[in-house]
Amino acid sequence: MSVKNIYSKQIDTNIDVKYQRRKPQNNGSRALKDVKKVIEAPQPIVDDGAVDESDEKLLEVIKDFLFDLLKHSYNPLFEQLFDDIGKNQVAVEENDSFHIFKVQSFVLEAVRIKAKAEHSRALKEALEAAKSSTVGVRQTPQTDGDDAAARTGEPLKKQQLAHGDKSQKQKTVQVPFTVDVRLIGVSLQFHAFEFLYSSLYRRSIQKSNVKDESLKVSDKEFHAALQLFYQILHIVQLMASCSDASDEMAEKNRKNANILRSHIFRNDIIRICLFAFQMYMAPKHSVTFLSDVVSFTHTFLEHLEEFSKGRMLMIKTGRRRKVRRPQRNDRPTKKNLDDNSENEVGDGDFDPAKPDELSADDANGHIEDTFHDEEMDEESE
Amino acid sequence: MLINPDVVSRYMSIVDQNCSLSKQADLVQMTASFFRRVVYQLKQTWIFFQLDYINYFNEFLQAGVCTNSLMKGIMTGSLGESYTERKLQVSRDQLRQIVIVIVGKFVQLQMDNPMLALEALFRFQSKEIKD
Repeated sequence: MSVKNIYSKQIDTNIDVKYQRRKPQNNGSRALKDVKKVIEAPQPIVDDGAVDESDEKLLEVIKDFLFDLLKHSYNPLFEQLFDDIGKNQVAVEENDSFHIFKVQSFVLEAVRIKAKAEHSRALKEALEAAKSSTVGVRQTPQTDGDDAAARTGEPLKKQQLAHGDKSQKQKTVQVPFTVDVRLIGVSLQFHAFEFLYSSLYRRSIQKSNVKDESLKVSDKEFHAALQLFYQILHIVQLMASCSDASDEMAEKNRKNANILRSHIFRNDIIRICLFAFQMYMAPKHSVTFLSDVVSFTHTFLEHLEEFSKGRMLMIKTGRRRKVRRPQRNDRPTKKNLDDNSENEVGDGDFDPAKPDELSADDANGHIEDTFHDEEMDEESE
Repeated sequence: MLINPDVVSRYMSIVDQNCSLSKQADLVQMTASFFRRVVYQLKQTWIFFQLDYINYFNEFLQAGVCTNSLMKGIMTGSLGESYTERKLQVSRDQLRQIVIVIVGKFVQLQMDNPMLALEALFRFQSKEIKD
């Protein structure tokens, strides 16, 4: 039997027996076999505890190797590298600077984590020592506090323990903190920071159609530079928080932290933060980039707030000073010339015979002035 | 300079409950800190008065809230078992506080300026236009 539908296609409505649904087969035995296979799967021979132990040993070996490497070869290697870059002996390619930033940020993080781990270990030891000393205090005979408690009639234990714990806490909390930045000294020098900041700044002012490959800064490089900057800020924070008054290194660290901060905050970093936020595009960039930008901005603002308390900060911005152009219609008359000559003598800030003696404002606006002069020359030609 | 719709939009992706970044306690805390800075230090709350931001805030405030009175006793006070969960909960509480302040200011301004609901549909570059 056949029926015609609207597409005039014949459909065979005769149900053949062979197309009928199959009855579900009984797979019980096969399923059981599978389960058996799972159960009979080979069990791990080495237990987890043993693996962890060996991992820890391996990690210790790697850490020792890393800090040995840092101690002996990190500073000379990077000094040589920055020297070569400064003298333009080495052509820095895109991947080179990316790797320089990555290695530096890794090393800074390692040093920071090591310093914190050492501090927490010292804190732990001090706490244990305090615990043992409190046991000793309890065993000592009655003190003035005990007499007072006896007079007030309150239970002895509460007052004594509370008092004892407080004093012990005050003692144990004050564990001096120091960080040894000699291992990473080269990364905290000014020229290293200038190299880092120049990459960030170039990317922030870079236009999409840059033809010169050497001036081009990729997103990847920008991200790595931002990560390094974040680590530098953390290290500077640790240096500033060195609390060992007796240690000479801690004192030096605090001084150096202040110098570094003043150098860092002189630059217009907030512009870079803004650019990084604007650069992030959800599908194009990874989420890690956004989290790094947020962390960096937060750390930077906290540092700035802490550093700028009660101080006037001067920030070098990329803003250009407007230069007034003389009107073309004005013809130089004798009176005008006389006035101008009087003004020149009266200002007295800038002597054309001594161009080196520029005031601070003139030094900032030097680029704009030269640019303006060039324009004027073109016009005169 | 950071009072910019682009910057706030990026921060909103941390407030957004569907984004994976909203599960990171440190980032949530940093976002709360930035919002506090904008509201209390810079006094530029108007930047948040956009419809999409208000929507994110609504979703954030509604997350984990139980309207069923029978389930309230069970749902509330569950800080989480692990340290990470507790930390996340604490940082979310910090963010919730500042978000409540922002939404409160929006409602207050809405009473003075009935056109704010319409203005919230568009991006405004300065406070003067917004008010």
